[in-house]
Amino acid sequence: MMGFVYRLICAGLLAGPAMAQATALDGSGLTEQDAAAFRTQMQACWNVGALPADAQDIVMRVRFTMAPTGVPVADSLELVETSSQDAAHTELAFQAARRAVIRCGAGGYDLPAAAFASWEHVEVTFDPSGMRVR
Amino acid sequence: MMTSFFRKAPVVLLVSTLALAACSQGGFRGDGALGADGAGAAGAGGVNDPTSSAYFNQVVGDRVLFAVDQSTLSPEAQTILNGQADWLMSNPEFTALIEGHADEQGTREYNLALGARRAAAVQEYLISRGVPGTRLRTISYGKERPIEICSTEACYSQNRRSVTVISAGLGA
Amino acid sequence: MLTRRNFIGSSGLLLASTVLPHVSLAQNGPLRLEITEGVIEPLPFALPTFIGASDAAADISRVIAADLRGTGLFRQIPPDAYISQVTSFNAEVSYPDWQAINAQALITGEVEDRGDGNIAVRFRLFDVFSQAPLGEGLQFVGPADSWRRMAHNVADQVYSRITGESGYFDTRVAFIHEEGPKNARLKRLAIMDYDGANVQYLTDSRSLVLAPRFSPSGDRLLYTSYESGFPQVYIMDVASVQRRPLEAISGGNMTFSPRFTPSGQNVVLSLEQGGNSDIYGVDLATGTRSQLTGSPAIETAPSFSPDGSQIVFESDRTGGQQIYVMPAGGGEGRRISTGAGRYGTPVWSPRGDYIAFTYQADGRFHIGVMRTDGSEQRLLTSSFLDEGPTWAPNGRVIMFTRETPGDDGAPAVYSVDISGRNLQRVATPGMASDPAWGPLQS
Repeated sequence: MMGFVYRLICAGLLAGPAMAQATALDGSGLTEQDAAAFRTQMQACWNVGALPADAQDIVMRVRFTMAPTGVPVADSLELVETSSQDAAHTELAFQAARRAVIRCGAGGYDLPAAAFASWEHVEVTFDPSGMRVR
Repeated sequence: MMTSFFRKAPVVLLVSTLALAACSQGGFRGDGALGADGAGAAGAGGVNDPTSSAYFNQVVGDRVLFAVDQSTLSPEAQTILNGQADWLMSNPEFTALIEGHADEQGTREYNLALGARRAAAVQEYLISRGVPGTRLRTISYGKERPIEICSTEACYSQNRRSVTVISAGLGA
Repeated sequence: MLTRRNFIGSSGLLLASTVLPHVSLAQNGPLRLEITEGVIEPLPFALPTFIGASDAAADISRVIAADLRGTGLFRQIPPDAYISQVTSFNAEVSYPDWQAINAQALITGEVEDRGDGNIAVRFRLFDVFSQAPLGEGLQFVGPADSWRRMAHNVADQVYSRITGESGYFDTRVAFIHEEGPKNARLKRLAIMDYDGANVQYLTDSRSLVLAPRFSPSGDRLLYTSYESGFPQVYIMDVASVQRRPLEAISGGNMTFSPRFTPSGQNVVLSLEQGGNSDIYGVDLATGTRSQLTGSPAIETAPSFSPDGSQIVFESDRTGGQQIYVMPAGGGEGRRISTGAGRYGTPVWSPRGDYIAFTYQADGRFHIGVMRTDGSEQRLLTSSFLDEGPTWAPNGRVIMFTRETPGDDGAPAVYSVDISGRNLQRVATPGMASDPAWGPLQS
């Protein structure tokens, strides 16, 4: 059943990078390369190693607000949705996502200041289903 | 106890190179019981005395070997056990403890059970040849008492064995 | 529909309308990204040596750090990298200093000598990048000579708060200590802390002893001993080291492979009669024995489901060893292991979610786990001879025996987590085998 859920999520969000590109073409100034670099910086800090196996399955979406300096506003992070019914595991997975966003953004993400409006609000889906070791 | 065991070891290594039926094992009294050595090779109680345990161990042959995971008795094993049965029938003052052993290629508990199965197969065969069941007991050592210590089939085949350990006057 | 049912917001309420984002991105909408590639690496923590004048402060800090490192889930940042020095347990935490060295968790503490033979150990845990404590500060008080247990208690708390699993550091392991050459091995029953400290020998080496098993509360051990001349199950009180045969069984009938029921009041074991081994239950109070299996095959290695309703065991009724599950009251059982090779020594996880086993194929041995219906089998280890898994009380780590081949082959105890990561040798005073992991001590 979980696998099915994952597929639905992936199907819904596969358009993510393309959306970023579309935004750039709309004149916001954020290119696909900018968005991809942003994602790459964040994922370097997303560590699921200390999560229990059950929490390593959780797909979740979080949203947050950015300061113009490229630093995420820590208090703004919130969970939008999760694939898990387990509150405790969801909380652990959310903390891992939160650490990823805040830790790698502590010095400011590398984003074009001119396009601040297009990255002031960010929603990130964290999907570990493809990286499970087992 | 340790020293007596070590003294036996070279003899055992030599034996493994000999044909099974012609086993010649000086004073070996079973692998599980780290007991005292048997009598010397000559004279009363020695290997030339057909009523001695040395004769039983070396001339009759005190052990039979098994195939991997098996407890069935090969024709060679049956030949040796026929000799054991005849000897026990002619020497009624002796009782026998039949040890079952396994090689190291198995889990500990399964090997205990397998050793018991092998010992029981020997016991049943001896009873079928007329030895009273009251004179026979069994014990399994699983893989706990290998006689050969290499980790190849050459050793495993010697360790998958039953050993009939006889004792006089110790009624069951 | 399925998606909606499985998606809940952080508030726990169903989200009906925002299940899947619409593809069209409004000009003012958020930037949407998907991250599928994270890292799996140990979480870096800082643990400044606990404050306190006594040696215990340094010793306790060292044991806590070793517990956490040993899980493979945490990495200790070396103290010489610390920018901040912690000089007072109640001082404000300077988060930027810890962020700068990339510490994600910070553990601070102090050890107070109470002067009456007791010490107090206090600690706090901080999430450095969230700039907030993770849970409340806690204090443990106990005799100074039980400082190791207090250190393990702190580590269990830290582990639990970060991973969401209960810990397994304040535990003991029973095992068989081995000495001597391969063809004249001497074996002794022994017990130690899970990390190899505080080894205590419970039997001498005169009698061959095998495969201890803990009672659910850790107060008693079952094991097989040749003390009477024949292999027989014994029960021992750990504190007093008093032992007795579980049953008065006449010579020739071997009993072995015992295990407690989850209640601790009864035992299951294998009894051999005439070469055939079957599984029996033994009521500890009355000594009544009941037969649970009855085939002419070898049936052994029984282990209860945590709820006590089922028994997993091995049988060679189809030729080779395979794993079966039967009701606690006995029965034929249904086979759950599939595939070529031999499956033995099944052990039900204390969480009930997996069964660990020994798998043998193509001349190699493996420790594996599978779901309780036999699905999702995965092998965690591979060697010349791996056998006899035992679960940590949190069901996330397994210890087992690994033996090396050849004339000088020797057994040692290893641990591995259930994802197959973090394989490591467990410290023992010499050769060791047949580990049995006890419960968390209270």
